[in-house]
Parts: sequence; structure tokens; C-alpha cells
Amino acid sequence: MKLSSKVANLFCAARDRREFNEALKQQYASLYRLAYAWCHHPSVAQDLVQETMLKALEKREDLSSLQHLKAWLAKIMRNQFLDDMRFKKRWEWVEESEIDAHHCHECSESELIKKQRHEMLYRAVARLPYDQREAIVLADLQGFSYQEIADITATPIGTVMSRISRGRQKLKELLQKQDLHTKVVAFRGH
Amino acid sequence: MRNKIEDYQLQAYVDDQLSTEERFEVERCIEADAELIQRVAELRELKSSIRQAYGDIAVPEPDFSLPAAKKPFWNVPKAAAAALVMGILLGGNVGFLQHSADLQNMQASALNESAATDKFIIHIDSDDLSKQVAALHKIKDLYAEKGPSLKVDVITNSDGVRLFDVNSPNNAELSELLEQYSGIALYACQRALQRASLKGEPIHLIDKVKHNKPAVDEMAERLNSGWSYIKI
Repeated sequence: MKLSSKVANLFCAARDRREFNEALKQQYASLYRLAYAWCHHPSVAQDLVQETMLKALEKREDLSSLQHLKAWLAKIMRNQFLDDMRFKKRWEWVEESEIDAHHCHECSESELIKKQRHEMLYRAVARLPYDQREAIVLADLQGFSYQEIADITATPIGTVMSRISRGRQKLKELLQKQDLHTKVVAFRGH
Repeated sequence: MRNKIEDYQLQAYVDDQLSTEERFEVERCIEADAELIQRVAELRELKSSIRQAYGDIAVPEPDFSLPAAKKPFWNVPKAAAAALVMGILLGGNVGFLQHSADLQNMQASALNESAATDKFIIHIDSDDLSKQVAALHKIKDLYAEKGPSLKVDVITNSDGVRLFDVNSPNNAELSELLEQYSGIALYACQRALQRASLKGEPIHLIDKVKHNKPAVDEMAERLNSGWSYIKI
């Protein structure tokens, strides 16, 4: 190989590494939200994101294009999360009562109402069976297509559709129950 | 009209997963059915609630920085520097050298290539004793193959940090390796250690273990500098 080509190749490799690291950094917030929506525990979510970043650095040669980075990272994180659930049983650490709505520090009335709504939703999502929670979060929070979700979860597209459909139905029921419970508590408060 | 639309079709409509033709068909049915209009509105609201609720989560600052490759020009080995100079003289693509950041990265890459053969990362993230033994054997094999000038950085995260615990069953073998080869350096992920402490299972590290950074940064620094990577 000519020296000029060799230098050009080295240049490309360095640029690729820089772009890859920058792109990884840009995905941090999105990955954290996804991790949180799966596990509902800030510290476990942070660990999961860091482990995903490590795996991504290890396997960066497997990524064909940065355009596919978001789905590729989601797939890595999903596998990591399932491994953790199987081998470390970390999900057992998370009690429903522990779900920490660390999303809002303001305390105006409207913010309080919003916070309560969010907390109801977190609790309901946390109570969904894992496969339904995973599919719904990938679709609604991350905006992945059914085909992308099927690829990320290594599941037939029909199963993805079925999980989303059943999950939303269950979510609706859970939210209705919680809403009813909130109203009863409010009534007793008066 | 109602029974023409299945629930999965409505979900796919709300998720924008239908073809144009299918979408028109669904919309035609929805327009004529108040119950379907209500159902679509509920699904859209639910979808939007999830996006908003998790979008409002306070995202903590990352405890890693994923450093970019940066090496001063005068640190580039002679062969790599010569390659750069010759490349500049011989190559037609001189334009790309005008950007200093790119030049810096290119220099680092040239350095990386020359370094890749004698610098190794051994990465362990498990407390599986057989894996830890395999890691120690790998280090021995590398030194046997490449000679004593080799540099080996053992980076651990998650449960892998237990390899460096004073009570690790592999402690004696690890100490022996450290005495034998000066090129071995040990790194434990700062976050993994904090996590272990929070769980009430603190790790008591042997001497010589560096632990002031998250593993992801230790890894990124070395991969940027062209170290060879071995996962155990």
C-alpha cells in the first residue's frame, strides 16, 4: 500500500473513532431514559448505560454505519439488561414503592398534578410484563418502527404488534385503577 | 363498519406503521365510527403521556467522558512520523491536513498502529473464577509470546472488580505476575466499586490498583490510542 494511502486510511480511522465517541455521547440521555423506563431505578439505569457504552466500545467494528447507532445501542442494552435480570436478579431490588419520580423539582400546583400523573404512569408501566413494557417503551419513547423493535428484540414482527397491543390495554386498565384509587384517597382526605 | 378494523390495525395506525393505502382505509372507517375515534384519541394520549413522562426524567450527568484521541505530535514514533511526512509529500489529499483537530487525530492513529502490537487491554466484567483464571493465563501467554517489554492493562468493571479484592482466591497468582512483569497495570471501575459499597459488599483492593475513573473512560482512552483489546 502506498504511504499516502496508508496515511489517508489512518486519518479515516481516527476520524471514525472520534465520530463514534461523539455519537455515543449524544445518545447518553436517550439511553438513560430508555434504561430508566425498563428498570425504574436511577442507579441501575446508570449502570446499564455505562455497561452499554463499554460493550459499544468493544464491538464498535460490528456497527456498519452511525445511522444505525441508536437501534444498535438499544439492542446491546436490551441484551445487557436481560443478562442482568437472569444472572444478577437486579430487578428484584426495585420495589414499586421505590419508584423515584426524579423528574421535577418545581412545586406549583400544575407541576404537582403533572408529577402525580407521571408517577401514576411510571407505576403502571413498571407493572407491565417485561416483554410488553419493553416493546411499548421502544415504540413510544424511542420512536422505533415495529420492524426495528423486532430486530432489537429478536422477535417476529407479529409478536411485537401483539405485545404493544396487549401492553397498551393492560396499561389503560392499570391507569384506570390507579385513578380510581387516587380519587378515593382524595375523597377520604376531605 | 366497526368490525372491519382490528385492534392491531388501530395500534399500527397510531404508531404510523401503515402504508398509505392502509392508512386511508383505516381513516375511512374511523371517520364513520365515533367509538373508533374515541379509541384512537385514547391511544394517542397514552402514547404521548409515555413520551412526556419519561422525557421529563432528570438525566444525571454521565460519570464518564469518553475521551477523544489526542496525542502531541512530538510523541509520534519515528516510523509513524515518517509515514505522515511522506504521506503529506506524496499524497494528493493535502487539503484534509488543514484542520488541526483532524491532524491531531491522524497523528494519534499513526501512533496507534505502531503501538497496537505491544499494548494489550484485558477486560473482565465477571466474578466467575474460571474467567479470572483464564485472564491470568492469558497475561502469561502474552508475555511468553511477546517478551517482557509488553504492556498489559487489566481493566475490570461490574463484578470483575472482585479479581482485585484482597480475598480473591486468585490473589497469589496475580501478585506473582505483578512481581514478574513490570508492564502490568490494574484498573478497577470507580463506579463498580461505589456500587459494591452501596450494596454493603465493599471491595478491599490490593495495592497498585488504580480506581479513580469509570472503566468506560479507561477503555476509551486505550482504544483511541490503538491498544489491542481482549475480552475474557
